[in-house]
Amino acid sequence: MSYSGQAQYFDGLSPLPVSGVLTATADALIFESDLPGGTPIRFAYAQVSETNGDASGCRVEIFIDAAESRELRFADPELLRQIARYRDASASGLRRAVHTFAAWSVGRKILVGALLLPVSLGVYLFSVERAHVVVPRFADQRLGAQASTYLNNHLEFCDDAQLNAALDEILTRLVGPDARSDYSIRVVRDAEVNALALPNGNIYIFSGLLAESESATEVAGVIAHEIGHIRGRHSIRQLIQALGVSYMATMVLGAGFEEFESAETISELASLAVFLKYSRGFEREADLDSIDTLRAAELDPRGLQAFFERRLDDRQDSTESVASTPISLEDVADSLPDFLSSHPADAERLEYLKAALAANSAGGVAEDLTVRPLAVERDWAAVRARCANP
Amino acid sequence: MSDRQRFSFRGTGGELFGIYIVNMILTGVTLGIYSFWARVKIQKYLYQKTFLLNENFDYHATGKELFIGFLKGAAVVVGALLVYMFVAWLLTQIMGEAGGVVAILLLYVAIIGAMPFLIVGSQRFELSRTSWSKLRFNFTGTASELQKDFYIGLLLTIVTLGIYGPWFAVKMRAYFTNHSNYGNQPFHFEGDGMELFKIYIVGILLTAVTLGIYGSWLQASVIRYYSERTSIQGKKFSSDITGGQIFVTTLVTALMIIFSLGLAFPWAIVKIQKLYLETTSIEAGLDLTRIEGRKDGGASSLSDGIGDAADAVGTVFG
Repeated sequence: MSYSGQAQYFDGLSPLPVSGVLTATADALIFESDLPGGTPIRFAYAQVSETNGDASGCRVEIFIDAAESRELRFADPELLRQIARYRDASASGLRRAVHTFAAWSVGRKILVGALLLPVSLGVYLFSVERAHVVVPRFADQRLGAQASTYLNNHLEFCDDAQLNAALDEILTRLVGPDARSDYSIRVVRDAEVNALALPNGNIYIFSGLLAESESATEVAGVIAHEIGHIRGRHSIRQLIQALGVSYMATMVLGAGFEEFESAETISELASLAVFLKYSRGFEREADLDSIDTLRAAELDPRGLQAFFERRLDDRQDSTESVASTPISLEDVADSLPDFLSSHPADAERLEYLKAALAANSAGGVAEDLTVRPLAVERDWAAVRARCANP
Repeated sequence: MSDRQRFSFRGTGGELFGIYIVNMILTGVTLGIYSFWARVKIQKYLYQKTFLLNENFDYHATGKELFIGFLKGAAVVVGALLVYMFVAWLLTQIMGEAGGVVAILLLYVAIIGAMPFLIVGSQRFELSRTSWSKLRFNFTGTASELQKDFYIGLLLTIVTLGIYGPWFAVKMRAYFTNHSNYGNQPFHFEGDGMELFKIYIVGILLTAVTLGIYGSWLQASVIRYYSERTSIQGKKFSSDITGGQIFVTTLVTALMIIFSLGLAFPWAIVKIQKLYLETTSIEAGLDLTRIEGRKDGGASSLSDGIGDAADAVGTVFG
């Protein structure tokens, strides 16, 4: 069975087409020129790289190699359908699938694509979330060191021997004497009730937070929470996630267009990631981790809870706003992530902290817990006053 | 004025939007790999809808070759980065702090040194994959011909704080146009840096005075300048684009994109294509019978791949 029709042949050697007859047989496309003396030209269906047709006519592209192609044009849509059928019959399974997909309407492509999209993106986000396991700890150190240099130059510190000794006692208790050198802690003279951890182990406690605390155990709770961020590698994970999302957004939104500007670069993101608020999930992780840290250190894990409760009460009718997300490094000093006002919402946070503490005591752990008070606890009121708010 | 043949663009925003949406979804599904095929789809559409003498242009690169070019390019870029890191480390060992600075300077020199090769490679590839009436364009320039003018021109432009820029631009345009061919027919460009310099001087002054508005008129003058000095078979190209057209189109397309939250992006592209193409024409009387195809089997997508990979590294690390 074969189909024929009048066609124009563009041979790639002249811009002017040749007229003739195109015949589609089961195993080849054959073009015979109307000019006398020409030999028929045969193409295998595997060489047909593109077929399309609309009201203005039909075209079949023949792929010779990357630098050479031919084209056949004709008016008969039935001939085009026949060529497509023969081509698919001679193609391998995968090729046929590609052709079938290419022939679909835009609506159908979108529908099927949209069904597959969540699966792919799900797998992608899952991998991005775990990508930090292949990033060496060295990266955390670098990231933190850069941010430390910046903070050390832009913040005012209280370097008081008695205060430092007190914080040293708390920190040593929390992480143990062996890991003590992995961390450092400094007090920032700033009335804000805040604390901050950098991925290289540098912890900053604001004098506002000390003033607000009623016991050293409460501050230990806050520090344990910050240690949770460091141990959980939340900064680097946040950076990887931001990069991963930014990469995918650029790829997808710019699909097909060159020169599509990506929103962020690593260096921009890196400078922000350490200062950005942690996501809800990371705060929760750090909160729950702090309970374990406190228990292991034989400190009362309810300190953090007590601190939150009081803050929440204070705030019921206050209009204090959540610190805005910094948009550049210059804004950072003004809007460091607020340890307390950030996600998760305080009330919700208190809720799961209570639940976690209750779950532990229900298992009888609370009764077993030996609380060994901190030496600094007795003089806490005097110690915390060593760094007066500005 | 003699008879002229005008270019036309017959694409529609709706069709382009359809391609774009499918591109976005498939790029998402394949986690970015499809982007090479997506690029071909868009380019092919834009070329196939561009007509001259009722015949369309076409784009013949394949997603596969772009992808392979990118993989090879990425290998080259990663290799170069490793060499750079080693050199930087070595220099820091020998010279201390200053070693890092020297390493960065060397990196810049290496990048500028590589540029003629990359630009020529890319030009050769793109032209060998572009056709009009199914006959391919080709590029016969080599990097070694470009090197001297490129390095010296770049240096002079920097040293003269941009004043040499127009002469450099004319030299580059002449090199690229005069080595571009349609089959066996060469394109020709003849320009004078001084003329372009005058256009820029007046243009930049007026642009500053008008707070940027005159920029559209400057752009129109530059486009007309280049078109009128380009020819093939002695038939001159010409553009009758006006600053007003560029200004209005830029404003309208920007508003379209902003108010549609980006959705009108494909319609904006069509508007821009129409403006630039349909104001361009060539003198009538091209002798098509004299034209013969020339196949460039040696063109490769490696330069584009290196460019893409370097862009990716640049984007990621700033």
